[in-house]
Amino acid sequence: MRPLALLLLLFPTLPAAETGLRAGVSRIDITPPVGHPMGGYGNRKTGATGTHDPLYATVLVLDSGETSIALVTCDLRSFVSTRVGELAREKYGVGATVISVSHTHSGPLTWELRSPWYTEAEDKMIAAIGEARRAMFPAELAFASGQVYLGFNRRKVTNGRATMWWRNAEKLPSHPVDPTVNTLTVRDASGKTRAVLVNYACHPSVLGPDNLEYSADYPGAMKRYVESQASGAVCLFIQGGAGDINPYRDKQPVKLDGFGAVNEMGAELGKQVMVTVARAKPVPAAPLKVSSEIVKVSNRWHPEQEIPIGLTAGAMGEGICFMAVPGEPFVELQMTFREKAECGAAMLFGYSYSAGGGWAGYLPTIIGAVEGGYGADYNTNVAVGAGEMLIDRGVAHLFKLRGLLKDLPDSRF
Amino acid sequence: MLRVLIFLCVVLLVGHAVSGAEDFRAGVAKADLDPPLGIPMSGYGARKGISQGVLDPVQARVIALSDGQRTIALATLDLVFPFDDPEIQKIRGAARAKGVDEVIVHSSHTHSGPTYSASPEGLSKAVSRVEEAIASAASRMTPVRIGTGWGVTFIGFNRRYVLPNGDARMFWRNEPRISSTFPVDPTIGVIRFDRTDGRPLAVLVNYACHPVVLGPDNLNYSADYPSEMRNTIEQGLGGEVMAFFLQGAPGDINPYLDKTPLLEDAVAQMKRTGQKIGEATLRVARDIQTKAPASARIQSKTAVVPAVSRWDVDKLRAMLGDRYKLDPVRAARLVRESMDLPVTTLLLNHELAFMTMPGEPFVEYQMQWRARCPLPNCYFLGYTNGAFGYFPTIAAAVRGGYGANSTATQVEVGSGERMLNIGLISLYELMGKLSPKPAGGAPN
Repeated sequence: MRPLALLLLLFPTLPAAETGLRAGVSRIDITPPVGHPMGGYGNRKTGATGTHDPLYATVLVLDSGETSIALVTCDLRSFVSTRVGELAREKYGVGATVISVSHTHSGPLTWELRSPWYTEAEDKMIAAIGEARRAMFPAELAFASGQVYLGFNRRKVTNGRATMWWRNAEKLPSHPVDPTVNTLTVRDASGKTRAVLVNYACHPSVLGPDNLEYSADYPGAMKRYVESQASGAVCLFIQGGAGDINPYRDKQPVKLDGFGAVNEMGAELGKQVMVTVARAKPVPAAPLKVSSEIVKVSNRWHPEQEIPIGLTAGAMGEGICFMAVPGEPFVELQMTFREKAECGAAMLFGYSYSAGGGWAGYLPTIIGAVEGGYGADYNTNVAVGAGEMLIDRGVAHLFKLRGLLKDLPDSRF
Repeated sequence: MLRVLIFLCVVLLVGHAVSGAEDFRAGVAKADLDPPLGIPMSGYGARKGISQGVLDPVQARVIALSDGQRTIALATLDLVFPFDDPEIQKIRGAARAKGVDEVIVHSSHTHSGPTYSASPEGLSKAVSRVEEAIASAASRMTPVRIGTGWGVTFIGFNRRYVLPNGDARMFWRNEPRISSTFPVDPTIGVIRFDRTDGRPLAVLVNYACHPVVLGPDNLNYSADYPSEMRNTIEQGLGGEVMAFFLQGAPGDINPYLDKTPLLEDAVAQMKRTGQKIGEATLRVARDIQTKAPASARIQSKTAVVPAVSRWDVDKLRAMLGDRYKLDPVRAARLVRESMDLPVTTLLLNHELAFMTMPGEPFVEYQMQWRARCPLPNCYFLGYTNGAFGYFPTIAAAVRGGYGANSTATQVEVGSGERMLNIGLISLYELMGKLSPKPAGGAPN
């Protein structure tokens, strides 16, 4: 047995104050007005007609003294903003801000439209970061991952060519899928669970284009379920590499109980979250470290054009690692990331804007780009290989943050 | 920090009519580079003396291939690294004048060759001889049949020993042949070219192992074990066949009998090592059934992958003299802030794929290349078209060791992964599997 594991057994809960970590959570309603154009499906004819369930920004701020990060998790399809991070730094001293969207297909168009609502949403996110910052408490983290199959790979590859199958209500096997549910639990000094962050990869597209009411889709239902089971805790959802993963009951018509399907999927995921959280192990206390960069890749269809993509990597010792990319990674990239990062827990935050640049759109694997299909040889703009390169860059960042890659050669050799 | 990934691509594709089988031609030639004696040799910092003699001649062996429209030459050199870029460009220019469209310059990485920076006359002679050999190979091209086979032999081991705490230690020599080192790739890729009458013309052998059976005490020029491997194959197949050694990705692979002292019969051990891989190759090569290609086609693409230095160059520059004791040539290489890494992908007859890296890739890259390459016959050439130090994998860079986090590494972490991905992407492009235009498809 390794010494580290032994230590954990002997001291299963270190007093929170000794970790030096503080956390704060907050939530704010960012639902746009009725009539705002919706995003996610091109064939909707009108703006939103109402709100089925409100869209929230739920914030978790982690601060280990020298470094702090705000995870702004939103019930939105995509979001690009540098202003939120800049003001969070100026007003609240937050080192890094990640705006992560669940990718619900029943939310508004955002940065593409820049409506008055967009600016209001930015203001609300900043305010929510401030609120979380003001309510910081000494915290410790616990992590566990579980497995649940709620999605399938919507690219069916036959003889090296992909065709799309959007819906798979029969739950036929598909490949590759990643059933991993990552849960990061934030406890306060009394041991009470204050927040549960859930990281899972599946498109929130249970509701289809026929739905014209705002909804957080299954991640919203999952959060409601988890919060009903873990009273006093706030649940956050961060989408993973869902670029090729659809829910089994994709685009379930509202008339055929689409919202019932949303609730069922949310509860199924929520149940697995609760089972997983129950066996979460404390993450050894270590300072939070974060680094970012803008990687420039060429445009696949116009190679003379550059696409800047901001990525952020964060680590707390060897226990927790994550990287955030502002686009839709294919699921293999999250599996590759987990393997390459060599962390206790490695989470790929897809759909997560952090460090400048634009929205990267679909990030297919090389082989995915060759096989083709949605997001693979159309409706994607980044150079082939950009996904692999972003993952490798993120992995290198994580090793550097953990002090495992030095900036000078070892002089023994 | 802003990082730029530019796929600066030079696509060498020619509009092409369908070629018949008789259009696929090959020619071979070799030249003795005849390096001067009395100059420093290359490969070991610990070597004290200058070259005194010749154990086996330092050669260039060239195979020229043509599909009737396009001719390419692969020049394999018994040198530690290929020539520097000005010489490579000169060779290519001379080749173009002789109708050879492209030259791939590959070196075996022998540690018993000359240091050409010490002899401009020697270098000039060597470049001329390579140019002559290319012209000669191209002028002798004849219709050929081609076939491939795969073999296995263990002559090397992974010289990086990873301790339980994750740190690597070096383990240069493995005389007891402890077999549990990891990763190792014992695969031998064999390509045979026959004249149309069935007589073998050339055998290409692709394998990954440092040619360092001869150590720093040896002051006689030699190609090391590849020389004896070639002899074994040529004698075994008889007739007029030329054998070629194509070094793979042995950045972390040493022969079991690394740096055998001359007093311990190093020359005989070097020959035994070469015979072992030579005999393993012969078993494969004899069984290969060559045939005319269904359609002759030579396609290649060179992408230039930009990389910044692995190190904090300013800090490093200040410490070169004391902490790192490096000769000026190596020191200058080490403090380059950015480098352009040429990666060439070659596709023969739609069936055989080669990719090259300009330095010393760790062996996992060739294993990944074969695993990810969509064709059954995929070959990997390190030490080709340039010399930019070691290319460790990201994981190896973390664990450390020679070539992983030593002064022998120049390029940033992740460069090897990027080159591999780009080699693969180039291959898919040559195969026509990646369109420059988006496909039409139904939106979600």
